[in-house]
Amino acid sequence: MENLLLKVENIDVFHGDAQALWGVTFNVEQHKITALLGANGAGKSTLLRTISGANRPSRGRILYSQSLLVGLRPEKITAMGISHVPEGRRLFSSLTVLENLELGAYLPSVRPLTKESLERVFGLFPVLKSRIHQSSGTLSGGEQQMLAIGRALMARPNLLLLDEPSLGLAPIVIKLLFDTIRVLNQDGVTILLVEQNVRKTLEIADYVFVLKTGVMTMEGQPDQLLTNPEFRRAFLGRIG
Amino acid sequence: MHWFSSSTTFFQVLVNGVFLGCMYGVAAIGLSLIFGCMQIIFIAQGAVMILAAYCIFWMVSFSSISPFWGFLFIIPVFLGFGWAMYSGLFQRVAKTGKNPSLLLAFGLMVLLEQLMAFFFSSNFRSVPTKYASTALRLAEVTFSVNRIIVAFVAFISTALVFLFLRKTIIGKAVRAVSEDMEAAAFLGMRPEWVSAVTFSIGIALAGIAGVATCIIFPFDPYFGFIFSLKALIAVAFGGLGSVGGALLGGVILGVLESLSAYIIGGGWADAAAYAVFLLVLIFKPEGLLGRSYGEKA
Repeated sequence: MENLLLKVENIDVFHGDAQALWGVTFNVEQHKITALLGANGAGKSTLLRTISGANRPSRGRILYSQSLLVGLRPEKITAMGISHVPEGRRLFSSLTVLENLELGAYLPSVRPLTKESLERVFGLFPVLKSRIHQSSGTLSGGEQQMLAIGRALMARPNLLLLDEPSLGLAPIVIKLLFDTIRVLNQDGVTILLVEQNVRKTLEIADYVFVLKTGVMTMEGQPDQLLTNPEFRRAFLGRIG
Repeated sequence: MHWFSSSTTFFQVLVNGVFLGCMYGVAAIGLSLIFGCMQIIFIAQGAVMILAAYCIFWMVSFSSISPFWGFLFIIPVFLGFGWAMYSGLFQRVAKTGKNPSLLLAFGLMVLLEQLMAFFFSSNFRSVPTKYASTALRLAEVTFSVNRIIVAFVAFISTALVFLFLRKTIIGKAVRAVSEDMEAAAFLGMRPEWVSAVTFSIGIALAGIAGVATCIIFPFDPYFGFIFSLKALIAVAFGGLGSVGGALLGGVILGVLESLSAYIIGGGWADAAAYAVFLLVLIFKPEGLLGRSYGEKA
């Protein structure tokens, strides 16, 4: 694993007095899809939010291609090439689809590329093109998730953090989204995916980490995990 | 229309109300922008208006410049003043919550009032204009030139703020930060910077409303508080987060006051306006043009 894009080393994160992450260590390899699995409240979102600067670790380091991220503000981290698609999409619902996308390219370094970036996003999600003047609050759940991902792509990230993109969506929409995530990855975007949809995640991930109540408990390639009895008991019990 | 001696009187009262309301409207837009972006109820808006009024008063006293040029001079000065107030005071306090910000705004209002009373005395001042007694007459209804200019400036400011919010990337960032500060930061916007821009524009609008006030009314250092209240009511009328709504809210308030002052007597104007305000709060709490808050996922 010499092509590391992101190294998270031994971080502790607190929400007030409650500790959410305990000495978490993991790596994201360049051009790969890395996934984080875990139940509700395991600390997956906290981990993503710590990488993108919304939370601060009280201990440990986060390295992104040789530079230290800890202590930087979210907008600075975005400017370094990490885009975060937060849980629940967090669109600007009174703004139109086009305005949401334009704001994705707010950074001065990517603003001149707005037109090309828009073409790229509409190539990935053609349905958005037919909705550009609609306010984003009126979109369906699937369309909103596409817009949230498209908006993050407007910043031309190297590393895309996706927090539960499948949440609340119909299976057919989930399939479409995961196909698109794979296409994005083939285009050279490194992906860190947080999910609860275990089977879908194992289909597309190159490497998987498992987080349980704030501690990294397991890791491995999907086929390794599928033969790991502990993993099967925890995640595939009813199916397996 | 048996309350009015003639339809001309009715229109005259109506026109006066619209002009009065334009001033409330401009102050209300500033208040609405600041509240929308930072959730600060900037109760010192009226005191800032009166500060602008004094600036124009002294400018006119020491030079022969027409107070109407004050609009051009006050905008850059109050943009800077707003920027300083935000980065020096509100940026720090905003982190600790909404109540400290309200207290700070209240303290700032009292401080400004007392400073103005100390330096400029509590005497009523008025700014003479060349057109003070000039008026246009159209079908027996009188339009004072002063008030026409004030209304014109109000509409221009509203239109400019509207275009800024709709057409420029910074304006869109203001709307984005107003909705979701953290999501905006994830896209590379600096919420503090965007808030500072918004706050400055809000203060500049208070400045514009202040210039308008001193052209039309005599004022003293404490005259602003009632404008803060009226601007708040105008914002609630029109709906938070809506620029056109804030101006419309101001105009409705002005017309209500003007009509009730004529029909039931001057002392009742405020009471009638507040009564209608309560009715709006009860039956249409999101305001007449307000955006609904139910859409957020």
